[in-house]
Amino acid sequence: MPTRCPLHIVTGKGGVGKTTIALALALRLSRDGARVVVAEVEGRGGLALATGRPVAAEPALLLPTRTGRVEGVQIDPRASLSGYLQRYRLKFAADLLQLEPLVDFATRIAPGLRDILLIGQVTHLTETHPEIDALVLDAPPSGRIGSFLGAGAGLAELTDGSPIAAQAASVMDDLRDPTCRTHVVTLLEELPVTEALETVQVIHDLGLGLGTMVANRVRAVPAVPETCPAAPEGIGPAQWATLTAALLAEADQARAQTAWEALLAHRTKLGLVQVPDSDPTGHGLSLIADRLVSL
Amino acid sequence: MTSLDLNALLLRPELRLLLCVGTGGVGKTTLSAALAVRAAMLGRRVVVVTIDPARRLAQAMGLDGLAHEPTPVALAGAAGSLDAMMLDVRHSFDQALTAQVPPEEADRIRVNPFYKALAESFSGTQEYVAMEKIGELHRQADATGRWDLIVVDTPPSASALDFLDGPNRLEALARNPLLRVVLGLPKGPFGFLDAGAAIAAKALDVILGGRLFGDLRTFLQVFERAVLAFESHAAETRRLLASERAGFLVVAAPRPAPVAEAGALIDRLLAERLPLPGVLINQTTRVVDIAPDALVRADAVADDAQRTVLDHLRSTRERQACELQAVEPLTRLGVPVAMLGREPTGVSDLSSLSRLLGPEQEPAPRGDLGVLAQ
Repeated sequence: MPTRCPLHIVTGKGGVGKTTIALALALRLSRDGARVVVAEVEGRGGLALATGRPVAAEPALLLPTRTGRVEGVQIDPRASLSGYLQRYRLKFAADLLQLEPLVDFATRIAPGLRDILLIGQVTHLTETHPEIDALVLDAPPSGRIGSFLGAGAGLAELTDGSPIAAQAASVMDDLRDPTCRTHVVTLLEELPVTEALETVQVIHDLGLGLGTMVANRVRAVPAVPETCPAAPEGIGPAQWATLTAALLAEADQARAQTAWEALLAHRTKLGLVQVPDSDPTGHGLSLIADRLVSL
Repeated sequence: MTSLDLNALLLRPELRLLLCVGTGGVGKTTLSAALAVRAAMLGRRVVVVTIDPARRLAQAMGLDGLAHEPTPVALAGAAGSLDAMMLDVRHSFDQALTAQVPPEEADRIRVNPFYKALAESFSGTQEYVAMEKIGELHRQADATGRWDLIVVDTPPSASALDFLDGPNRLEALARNPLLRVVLGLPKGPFGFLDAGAAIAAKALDVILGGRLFGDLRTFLQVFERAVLAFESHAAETRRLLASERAGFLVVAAPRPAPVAEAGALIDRLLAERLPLPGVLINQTTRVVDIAPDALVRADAVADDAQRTVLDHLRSTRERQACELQAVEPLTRLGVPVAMLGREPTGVSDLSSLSRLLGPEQEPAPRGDLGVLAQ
């Protein structure tokens, strides 16, 4: 039996930089000469936005790399349903796909069906493209990750005996395979950390493998003078007081990150990788990739 | 860049409804609470609808329990008043359902897997319910005079545009010709689809299995009634959103992805001629305003300790310059913009919320933290 292609799922609270981390991880994996595909499933165009390259239903080059290859693909529910029907050789498939309302309906209303089809299409990529060495999934945010990844379990139960139940069960098998791991991206701040801890619990409860916790945009503690200096010539005392207060406040905030990091370490067994907040314009994927060695 | 005067906006007498829209993680929930507090301080009688607030924010707002109805929040020194409520989609949906069907049928439908999926995870439901609630509060405000401003936080959707598209999605679902076939209802104007739709219904039966298909039938019978009942108000709410009584505030953060999403949202609001009083750029770096020549002079004479402080000022400026570059696609649009910093001590009470929006009346004295370089 061939070795399964590793699937890295990347989630986290909205706005913590999931897409950036997913791309950096793909870049990291490609350095060993691997062909890596980054998949997005929510139709937000986040990959295209971050890379400036078009991302469509077929994997296409996403990032320039020296070794290996990083490709991007957008998985949409319609194509996934079509893929599913073809795989199962359901004979009415051709008739069915001409029916926009049905596609629309089936992928929106049946509980979990859409998610099962999307995940199924992601894992199916390795069958249609055997040259892929690793998959990275830029997954939905942590608020929806439980229902997204757990859709298979619920649907399998509801639909026992029908073709979709088989698909749902097989999706859960793929996700529970040891080669599949979920990485949680967070900021070292109260809300993202709280949500990250909840996410770890959710993934664990689903019986899925956890990967690494990535603390993104970690701010360095600025140098602080031991005693507060007087204002130098040319700067008024009020301005100077504001300046020093701003420095101290930022140092406090940066130090507070350590406490959130400690909480993460205490409450989860996951390895933690810190990515410094070096460039707010979001470049420097390669530098971030350097940090992701342990993933 | 035109700057947005938030106090003046909140005091516009015709403004009755303010909606914070934007992508996840930019601080919509916190800012809608902040706007509500500020408006109440300035004399408005405000109700704020928040969605899934963080525990600390909820506590700051006095929303410890599950307040699904507007609940007064004590606000010392406020010229107006503040009520707050959390929007609970499941609860609101259940209410709508109960109003439509006999109790025993409602009990049956509540455990229906389709109903549960729709009430809990269908993208569009949350937006639909939020829209409904806005209409309801507005009618109530007009009838009772209890509020003169409704501030709304919008759901954390996959895309910021979902707030506008979600409600239509739910309606499209209710009007789906397939649904009518499955129900055996008169097929309406979609005659050409009939043959295909019949196949589709059969296919659905095969794909989903008999049990789930039966659940689907049961669900659809109630769903159609519930959505059609909602719909009678939907047009009225849409008119309200497009009127001078409403204002959308687009919330963004100074990073490329939120800026791009905010840009798309602004395009959409403008294209639909929805009122857009301004853009809030949250989580920005604030810099103390010191003249460049003063800084050069200070640098020349500074000792090590003083230089540490000055170096920090310089690195803060660099960060700010990066942020200004990142938000440039928004600031060049001609839409008024307010730059908001982080609250250094975090949001712990109502006055720290209000401080997020900058000074209440007078502009900050020169040299104080606050105003970004124009």
